[in-house]
Amino acid sequence: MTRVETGAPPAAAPASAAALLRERARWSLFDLLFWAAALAAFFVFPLRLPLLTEIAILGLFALSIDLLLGYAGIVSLGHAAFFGAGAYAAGILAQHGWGEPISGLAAAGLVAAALGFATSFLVLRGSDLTRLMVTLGVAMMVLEAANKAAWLTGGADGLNGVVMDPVFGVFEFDLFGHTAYWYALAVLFLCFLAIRRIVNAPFGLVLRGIQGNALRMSAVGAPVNRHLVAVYTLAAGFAGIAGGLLAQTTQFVSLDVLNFQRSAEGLLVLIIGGSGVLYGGLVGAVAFKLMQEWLSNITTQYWQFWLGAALVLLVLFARGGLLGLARRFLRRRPARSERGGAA
Amino acid sequence: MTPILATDRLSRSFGGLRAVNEVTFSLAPGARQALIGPNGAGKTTFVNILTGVIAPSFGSIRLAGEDITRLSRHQRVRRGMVRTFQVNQLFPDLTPLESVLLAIFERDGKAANLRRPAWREEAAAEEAAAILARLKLADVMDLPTAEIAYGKRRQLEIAVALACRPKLLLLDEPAAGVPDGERQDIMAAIAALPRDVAVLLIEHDMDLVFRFAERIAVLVGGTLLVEDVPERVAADPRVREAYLGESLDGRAA
Ligand SMILES: Nc1ncnc2c1ncn2[C@@H]1O[C@H](COP(=O)(O)OP(=O)(O)OP(=O)(O)O)[C@@H](O)[C@H]1O
Ligand SMILES: [Mg+2]
Repeated sequence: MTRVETGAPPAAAPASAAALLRERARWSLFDLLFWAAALAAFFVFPLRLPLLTEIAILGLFALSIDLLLGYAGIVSLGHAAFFGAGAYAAGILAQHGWGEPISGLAAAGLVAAALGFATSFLVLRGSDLTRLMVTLGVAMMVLEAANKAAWLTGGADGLNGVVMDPVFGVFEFDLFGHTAYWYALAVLFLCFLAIRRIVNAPFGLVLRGIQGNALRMSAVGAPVNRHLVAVYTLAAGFAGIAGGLLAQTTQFVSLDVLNFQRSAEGLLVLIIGGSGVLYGGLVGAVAFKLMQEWLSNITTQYWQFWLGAALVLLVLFARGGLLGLARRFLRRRPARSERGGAA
Repeated sequence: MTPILATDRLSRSFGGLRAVNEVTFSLAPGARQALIGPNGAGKTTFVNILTGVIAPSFGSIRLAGEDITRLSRHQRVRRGMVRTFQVNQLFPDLTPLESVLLAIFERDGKAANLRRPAWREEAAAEEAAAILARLKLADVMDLPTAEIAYGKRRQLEIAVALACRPKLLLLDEPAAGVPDGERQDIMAAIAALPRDVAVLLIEHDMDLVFRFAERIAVLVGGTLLVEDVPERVAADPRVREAYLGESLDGRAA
């Protein structure tokens, strides 16, 4: 029985526990390639910058859903409420003469986070199904409120007269979308860094623990509800930043930012890319928008049909989305890595 | 001395069934006690009430003198009452290392940290590795829990609970379904717990019970039948009756 205290356990010798954890949090070649490609896109597709900006915004939106769904396991069909809240916050500020983009974006994030915090208490209890219904219901209420408050939001006509100051007082938002793209990309990258940090911190373990087994979480002393409120608020905040980006880069906000389609699209994009892996939302956004572009070019009328078909195939046959597929493909090729050897 | 755990007429009914019926029970700090009883006696329900997983219909619970009947689950854990589950309740996608680390972070109040990379918490990681090594999990600590063998997962149940640094540990059939060799490992790990940790062991294997327990409580049909030293419990005719001829003299039932 005292055997345990003598010599170190042989199997643990090669790597310390901290080193094992660190290994999982390392930057990889993929990170470098992804962001290099995002930068290169600016030069390679100078005429498609508005599309690329849309992709960045959609990617950030999906990333915020990933924090919620992919990490904490909270399903939502109403995440557009926060995207929209952020969009209106940034838009209305700019319309009223506060055109400074960075503080506007911060305001967008804060307003959305506040709305997220206020409604988080509704998603604490209940099953996935009740959560779907509650988030859907909240988003519907927010949409209708925005519609009714036409004096503030412009209602069905949309929010016009959004005028943005130059970024850092220097870079004007130009017609070609140069500034818009790198601004959106920079914001996306910073938000990505923040979320990456969060999921690599102890709180990231907490989120995966809640998804894995909320009962056990409470049995290790975790205040599960408090954690859920925190992640819901955070995810709402990041969605709000995405919405703010859309308002600022298009200088227009319509009720579309709040509709069900938007929530569904964010979810779709995340599932296509792969949830719970940070890049899922980003890769999904690229794939989704490109597929949409490509399909609507070759078949202007039926592209949604093919998009739907692709989605069904992906979900049925490629669990873990595109990134899951890629990982399995890469793993099969080289000889089994050191992890396989342990079993 | 204040008992670490004291229940007063603790009860819970499911419909007409009195799963736990007026159980008044106490446990001294550092106790080594077993809770036995036939299938369906209400042992797991008792633990579920103690830990706040289900609410009692009646009665109260004191932990080290403090009334915790209305506290939430995590508050009870924070006060030192920790349990394991009869049916594994683990984190399938986390590795054992991450699972134990998570418990340590919650215990130390570091779990809400959004900024500091988890791997920077080297002391916590080393502590987690040490706990895992103690339960012979060092070689699988970096595999997803869903991929490790059932016996190892049983060990992990205990490792996660130990990481919470309990004052009172409630073990619900920790060795259930575990092959003989590993069963000894589990019992060795339990026997090696610090003496100031009170342990309540629920177990059907009488061999293990009589080797481990300094006192034994017998629950039958939701009611506490006896609570005494092992020799007297084994000799008690009511207990023998409840077990319908099963041998209680140290051979497995
Ligand atoms: N959530 C529940 N709803 C209804 N009945 C329940 C519930 N939980 C337990 N019971 C019933 O309460 C009784 C006690 O069950 P419990 O699981 O506590 O027994 P146990 O002593 O742990 O048995 P075992 O040794 O088989 O684990 C059983 O009759 C069971 O069917
Ligand atoms: Mg039981």
